[in-house]
Formats: sequence, structure tokens, C-alpha cells
Amino acid sequence: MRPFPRDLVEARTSLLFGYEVADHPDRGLYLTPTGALTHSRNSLATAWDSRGGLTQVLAHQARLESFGGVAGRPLEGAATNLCLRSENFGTTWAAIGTPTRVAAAKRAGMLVLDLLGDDAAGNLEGYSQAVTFTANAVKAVAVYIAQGTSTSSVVRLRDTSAAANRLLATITWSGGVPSVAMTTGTLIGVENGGGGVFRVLLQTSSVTSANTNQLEIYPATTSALVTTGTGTLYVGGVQAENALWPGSYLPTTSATVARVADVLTSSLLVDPQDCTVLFTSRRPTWADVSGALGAHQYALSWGASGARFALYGDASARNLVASLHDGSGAQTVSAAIPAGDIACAVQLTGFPDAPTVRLDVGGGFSSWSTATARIASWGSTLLALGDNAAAAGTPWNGSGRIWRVLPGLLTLSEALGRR
Amino acid sequence: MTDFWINDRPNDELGFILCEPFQGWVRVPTLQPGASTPVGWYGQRPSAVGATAGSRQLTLGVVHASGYTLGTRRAAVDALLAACQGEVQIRISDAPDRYVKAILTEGSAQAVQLSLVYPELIIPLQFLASDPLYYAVQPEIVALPPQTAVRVPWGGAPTVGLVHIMGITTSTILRTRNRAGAVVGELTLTGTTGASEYVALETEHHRIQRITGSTPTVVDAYSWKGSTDRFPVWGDGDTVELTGATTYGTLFARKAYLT
Repeated sequence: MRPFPRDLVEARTSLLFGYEVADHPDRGLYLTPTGALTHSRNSLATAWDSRGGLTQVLAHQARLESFGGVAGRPLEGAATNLCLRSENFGTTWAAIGTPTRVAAAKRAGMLVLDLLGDDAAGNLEGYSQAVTFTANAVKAVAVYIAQGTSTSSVVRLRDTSAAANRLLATITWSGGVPSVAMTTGTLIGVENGGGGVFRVLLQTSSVTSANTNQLEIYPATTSALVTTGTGTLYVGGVQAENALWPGSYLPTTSATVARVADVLTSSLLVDPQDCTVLFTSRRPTWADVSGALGAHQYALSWGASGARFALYGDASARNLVASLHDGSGAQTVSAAIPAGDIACAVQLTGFPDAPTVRLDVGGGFSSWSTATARIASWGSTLLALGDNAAAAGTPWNGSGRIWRVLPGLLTLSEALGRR
Repeated sequence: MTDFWINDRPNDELGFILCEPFQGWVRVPTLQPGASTPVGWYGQRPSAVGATAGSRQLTLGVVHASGYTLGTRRAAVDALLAACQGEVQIRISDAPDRYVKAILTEGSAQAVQLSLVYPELIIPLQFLASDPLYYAVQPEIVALPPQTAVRVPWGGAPTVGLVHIMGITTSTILRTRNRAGAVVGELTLTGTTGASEYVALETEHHRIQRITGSTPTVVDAYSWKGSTDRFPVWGDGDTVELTGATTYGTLFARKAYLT
């Protein structure tokens, strides 16, 4: 465990707790009055830089990203990239036809993209690699691309055993921006970090893990896989995961690469009282995934047991949920995740005899929750940012920006302006 | 221009609004040829960079925002002046993405109009910014791949920043080139950076720290070689690169602005 690798700056503040990365590195952290911030993640990790490229950090090192010109702090769960040679189509990948390839033709920070080309109007050309998934389920695929000369390209996951497509995404370009049409599978989104490099986030249909599932990239063809197309596409950073949606990129070479969960915690030695919790985040990928997520996505939680509070994205519906737990049961309120980035204020009041909670995600406060049983003290002082203090390992899976706990009941705009 | 922030605290939280135009905020600082030219900087440069720093005089005329009594407004003034103690970072609403560092030089209670006839309480706060440059609030985060020259962000005045250097390496050089590709400055780290540690190099404060192990160990374990080595201050069009095939890093660049 180590602190954020920057100076801790004393701020004259009325905060009970505050952590914010939307600042320059000298002032990236505001002190909690009762405990240091600690972070661990015993593996490498990556994030977007300001230019649409990739930065990579060492194990345990705090990860900052810049997306849309705003800094954020990615906090994610464990993940493994199953695709080998994620940035090198010259090895492990099998050629389909006789594609052209310019190795490392484009750099985007630490990311390297090969320029793949189809120069034969009569043949379908590209690259393929069999990916070994576990369990029959929907899987996540992501790929970084940049525009070449091709007008239409295809990413496909082919079950060669069953002769069926599990994913077929067709990429076309307009004004320098990719448009992705799905024949099979689901498009979660296209991330534009700037600099002309985009990350396409995809979901397959349910794969049969015992079969051979082959990931295929065709630089110049259509959804009908016509053989007449020619042209080039920059491709790199291919990722395939046993997950419902792709996490941040994990570069691979000869073997799969795993990332363990980020753990960012502090302690908050404050009695239950009227207070407002503020949380802001870049829109997480899972906010655009339909169906069940498998687990709640925790933005902040306070207390590891007994009486505790948590704010999370709901596993079954795309709602933000504020949960106040009295030790034997929880009362919750929720609101649908709005479009765009997330800013949420949660008010807690009524301590100790009739504690209640309500939240605002930008459309006004919800109704107050039903009051819980008496809460005279919190079950523990553990404050987990982007995770569940009561059951670590259910992280936010997104890029948080501001976490604040402020005294008194404030509106969302007041909480955003208060430091 | 109606809002301002002092140490990121908005004026409404401080209990004051603006009643007079800001003064001194958009003046371009005095330029003079550099006596000791920073790395990568050629031609004119702000006098703040180097030994002969210029300064910027700033004035905020503020008035108490809401109803008060003599007693409460005095308390409000005290709170405002307390918020201005020491070197503060000030932002104004026409450019909230950048701040200037300044100290309060005039704004004492003598300037307060303690009049019952005029309920407004006008306080001209005069600040002195020894460094006249504005700095970006948001860092630009730029990946530094191995042995790759990367353009340093530029805002109109020399850029400073924090560089994280990682990857197994010995005697890494942080090399700056100008727009023409000529090497204009180098800083060579002594020592070897291991697989699980990284170096945090602050160009502004001339500080190099090594963060090592899985415990929060921060030591000043690095130095630099030779009399020609310098901490970089990046000019327009400069690039930065890390030598060493396995060395990579991240630049947290803080752009500076003249106005």
C-alpha cells in the first residue's frame, strides 16, 4: 500500500473528506482529516493520455487518465486480456490471404498500431487468432483503430466449430470519426480520446467456450465480407476478456496478461451526522451495457460492517443507488444514470433515530428513503473509493474524478463548488 | 468576469461578490532577453523565468454579498482575509482553467468603509504575483514511450511539469530537443531504476524522488550528472524523450500562459 505519489497539500477546507484528481499533480489530493489515502494494485495498468494515446503505470502506482481534457482516476476490478500479441500482427496472428502489414506504423503514447492492408481486389485479406475463452457466455472485445485508406473494415469473432459469427462489427468512417454497425453482437461505445485514435468497445453474442473462437480483423471488407475491397486500417491494442464489457487495455505479448483490482481506501472517523456525499465520474463503460452486470459497481462506501453507507451502480438496472444500512437491513433510493458523465450528490440526515437518505444525479433529489433503525455510530471507519468496503472486489469499474463528504445538507451544485 | 476563486474557494462561499473591474489580470508581463536561457527557450522570454523575475499587480474589488450587521460583516472580512493568507492561487471566471499565484499586499481593515449610510462593504484586495504567469489547472497527461520524442504541451509561456519515469534502466537521460530537432538540454539520472519502482521528477521544483517497493517509501536517491545537466523548462515546439529501450514514463505537463 502506498500513498498517492505526490505531495499531500494541506487545504483550508470544511470537508469531512475530499479526494479529487481534476487538478494539476501538485494539488491532486486533498487530505482527509482522519486518515491517509492508500492505494494498491499489484499489476501494471494503462489509461488514456491527453492525446488519445496510452500511458502505462507500474504496479501500485496511481493511475491518472485524461479523457476529453479532464483528468480522472480509473478504478477497476480484475481482468485478463486473452488476446496474445495485442499490438503485433506479425506473430501468433495468422494471415488470411496475403494482407499487407506495416509494423508499428502509428504510435499513440505507449500503444503501437500496425497498418493492416488488403491489396487484392479478388481476395478477402486480414488476420486471425483463436482466443481461448472460459464458460459459455457473452464476452468482451475491444480494439484501438485509426483511419487508413479503407472505407469499410470488419472485426469478427468466428466460431469455426459451429460455423457461426459471435461478433461482426463493420467500421466505416465519416469526417475522421468511426461509425460502427453491428451484424452480430453489441456495440457498447466508441471512445475518442483525441489524436485520431479510437477504441471500439464490443460485446459478443454468447460464445461456446469448448469451440474454436477465432478473432478476425479484415481491413477492407463489408458486413457481407465482400472480397472486392482494398485499403488499409491502423489496428492495435486488441483485447478479449471473459467479461461482459471491456476494461482498460492490457498489452500482451506471448502470454495473456492479468490486472488485479485497484484498491483505494482511507478512514473517516466522523460520527453519523447530516452530511452530503458528492461523487463525479467519467461515464463508465458499463453504463451503456444492457442487462445484468453480475455485481453492483461501487462508487464509494463507508463502513465495512454494521451501520454503513454505500453508493453504487445497480447490477440489474442502470441506476445509481444510495444505500444506508443499519446493520441488519438497508434502505435505498435510486435514480437512473443520466446521459453523459456522472455527478451525484447524496444527502444523509435524521441521525441517530430516523436515518434517511436521498440522491440527486442532476434531475433533482429523489424522495427520502424509508428511515432505517437507529444509527448512533458507523460500523467502521473504512472508506473505500470505487469499491465496496464491506466486500472488497466489487469496484466502480470506471474513472472517478471527485469524492467528497461535506458537512450539512447541500445541493449538487453547492457540493460541486465546495472544497 | 463576475466570479473568482481563492485557493479554489468560490467567491460566493467566501460571502463576497465583485463590485469593480479586475485590474492587472490581462496585462502581458514584461518581456526581456534571457540572461540565462532556459532549456529549449530561445528569443524573448518572460522576465519571470530566470533570475530577474517581473511581477504582476492584481486588484479585486469585492463587496459583501448579502445582508449583515456591523458585527457580522467584520467577521466576514476577517474570514476573507484569513482565506487570503500566504501565497494563494487565484482564478477568475473569464479563464477558470488557469490560476496565478499571488500574495495579498493590501486589503487590511483600514480599507473597509465602515459606514452605516452605505451598506455595501467594498474591499479592494491588492495582490502581488511575483511570477506573473498563469498556470493550467488541469494537467496534460502525455505518455512517454521508450526512446520516442514527444511534443511538450505549450500554452504561450514555458511549460513545467512532473515526469514519472519507470522501466528497468540505468542512467536514464531526459532529453529535450528544440523544434529543429537539436538537443538543447539533458538531465541524466544516476543510479538504476528497478522493475517495481519509479522516479518522480519535478522540473519546477528541481526535485527528483524515487518511489520504491510496495510501501510508501519516497527518497531523494537520485541526482544528476555533470555541470551541463539541467532541469528542463520547455519552450514552444520542444520535444522530450527518455533514453533507454525499456524506459518509459508519463509527463504531467503544466502549461503556462502570459495572460
